[in-house]
Amino acid sequence: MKYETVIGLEVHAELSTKTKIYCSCENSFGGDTNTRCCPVCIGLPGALPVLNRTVVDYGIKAGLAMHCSIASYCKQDRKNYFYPDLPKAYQISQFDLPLCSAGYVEIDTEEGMKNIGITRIHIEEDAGKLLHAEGANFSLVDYNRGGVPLIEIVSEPDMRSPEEAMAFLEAIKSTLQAIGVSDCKMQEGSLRCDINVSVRPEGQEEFGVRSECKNVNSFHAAVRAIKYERDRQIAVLEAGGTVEQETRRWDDAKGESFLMRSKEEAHDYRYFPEPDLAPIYVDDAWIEDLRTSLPELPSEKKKRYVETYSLPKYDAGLIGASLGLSKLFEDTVAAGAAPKTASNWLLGEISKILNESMLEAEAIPFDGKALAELIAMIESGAISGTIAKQVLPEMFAGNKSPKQIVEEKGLAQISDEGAIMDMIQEVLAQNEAAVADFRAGKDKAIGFLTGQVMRASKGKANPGVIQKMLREALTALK
Amino acid sequence: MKDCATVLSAICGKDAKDSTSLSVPTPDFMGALTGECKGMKIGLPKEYFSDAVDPAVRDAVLSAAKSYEAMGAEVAECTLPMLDYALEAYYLISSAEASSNLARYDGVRYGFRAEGCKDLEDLFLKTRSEGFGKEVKRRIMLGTFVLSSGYYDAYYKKAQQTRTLICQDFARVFESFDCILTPTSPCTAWKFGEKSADPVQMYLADICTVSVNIAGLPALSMPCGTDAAGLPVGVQLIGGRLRDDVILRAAYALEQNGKGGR
Repeated sequence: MKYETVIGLEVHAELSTKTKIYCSCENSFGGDTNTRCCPVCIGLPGALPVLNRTVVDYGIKAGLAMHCSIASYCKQDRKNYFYPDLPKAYQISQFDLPLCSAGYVEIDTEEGMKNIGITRIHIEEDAGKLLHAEGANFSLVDYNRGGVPLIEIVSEPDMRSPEEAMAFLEAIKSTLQAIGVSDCKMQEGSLRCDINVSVRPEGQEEFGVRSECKNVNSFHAAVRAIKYERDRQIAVLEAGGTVEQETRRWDDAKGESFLMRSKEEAHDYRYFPEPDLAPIYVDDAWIEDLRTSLPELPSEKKKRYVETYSLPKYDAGLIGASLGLSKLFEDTVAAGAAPKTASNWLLGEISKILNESMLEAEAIPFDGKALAELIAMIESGAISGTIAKQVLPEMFAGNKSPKQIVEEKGLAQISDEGAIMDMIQEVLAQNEAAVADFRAGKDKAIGFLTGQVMRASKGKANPGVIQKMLREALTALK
Repeated sequence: MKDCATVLSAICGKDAKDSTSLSVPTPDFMGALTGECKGMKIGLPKEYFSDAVDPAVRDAVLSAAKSYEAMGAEVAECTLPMLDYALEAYYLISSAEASSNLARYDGVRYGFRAEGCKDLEDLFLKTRSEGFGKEVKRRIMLGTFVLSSGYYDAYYKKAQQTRTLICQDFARVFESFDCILTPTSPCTAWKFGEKSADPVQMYLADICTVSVNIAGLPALSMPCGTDAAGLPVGVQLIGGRLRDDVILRAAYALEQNGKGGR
């Protein structure tokens, strides 16, 4: 039987506010253990929470960017459970009245654009972090992360494949980055997700029983966990069994998920309104202020790049999704480069270097003027494309312009016909077989010979000039 | 009353570190202590003078009412029909909050930690079983129960809805009265441990004061005579929202009249 996979995601994003959600402790990653805490975020009796207004600002911004309606009245609630990383033994979150609800984000799928519904976005506090020492019979707790503001974004079960889930996560990440509310660094845990998966026979209207998978710490892990869970559920059904509603824990190293708790063991969080905090009232003026402060969103950028610069959708989507790439792209085009050429460099060589050195696009040390200069040098024939690929890593290494690098390294293209002729004569003398092939009518041989001359020039000779002169020399030999 | 007004003047107002404090101007509490209460309208809610109230207590409160009349205040009966539910609502809400507030005493961060725990759950269980006393455990269990899924709507939510009705009850009374005069407790002090076997009997003694907490109103209690055994009787004055100045004025007048105080 064929099955359809149904996926819903819960994404937790740490907000990049200066201070924590309920106290004035610094909100930043790292720091010595238990140095960014105070009586409020370690839950000392008598200490009371005071809501950081910027957290509400950021939550509303995220909601607006994801086309949500913003609640004019909402409140905060206590979610009660015992765990050592939760010093008060309750997390302040939002239960039945979230800050934002009923929105969507657009993703690209094989069948075209698709809207993925956003059920709700609410604000809450993060917990501390347990530190497990190898072989020790105890764990330690670092409360630096306790009280770091989070938004939880809950999607509708609108995704039908791991690829769609990946596209959704990318869209969330690029949107939150673009509006400046979260840096979304997976490696620092500032973006985490829980995955809800169910399967149903193709054509069936009602959803299958879902399982929830926790501890998914990268987009890559999300895709693997979804595939694993999909296959597991299908195998259960095919064997005549029934899928149980349960919570599972993803183990990325093993590539498997394990049962954490069954439906019967599910926590009863005993939510109730947080009596230490007042309700949140958001008026239209506040919302409009934030709406006008929103920058262009990745989806809007993509549209504009296609319309204004005639970029292919694929290029426009990738560049538009990254703050660093889109800024560099627009600056490069403004400095005179052809949009598609700029895009090719950004998505080709530049992305390759970023991936290899595990850098974010924001870390690119040169600006659009420098990239435009490099492109202009290729177009004017001052350097070849091959040489340009050698210049680029140098541009990453220091603060020299492409022109300086070319001059200092002597990489300028040789267009001097005398110098090229000397190299051609040498290559012809050493490659008699290829010369014979050419004479026998195999025109392809000229490509090989051109390559040899390029090699002799260490890539600096102008390939157009070489071909033209080679052809003349070979014809003369006939 | 001067001490009371002095302290209140010092602690009243917005506390930036307490989100439940209000940002409203602090009234002139000292200025409210005029020593007279002519023309003040004082309500005696009939629900506070039922047969459950010790006659000695009732007599003491009624004699205070007489003093007010003598000073030129208008004293009249009023009614708070929702009062019957105040005690129940109070114990559901306060126990729910207590169960959550006290959850942090789990032996992890600070305070008492039980010895010889084999794992995390054991640590939580033993620490909390050994560390809390009977009454605290009773409230934690009650509070946990009323917040549990399936019971929340029937208990906690209903208690909060009742709270709203009680607030409305009081608000209605304060449309025609400046303050309300009641006993502080339906009986005078009982012996230590005398009612421990019957917690409900013990909770009932709170009936006159908890409604004020439920409704978010200012109230004060002052001594007003003794019973036959010489045990002190207290009267309670309840004011409208944020009208602490009104009850201070009424209390000071009674104190000056020689009726209040020991």
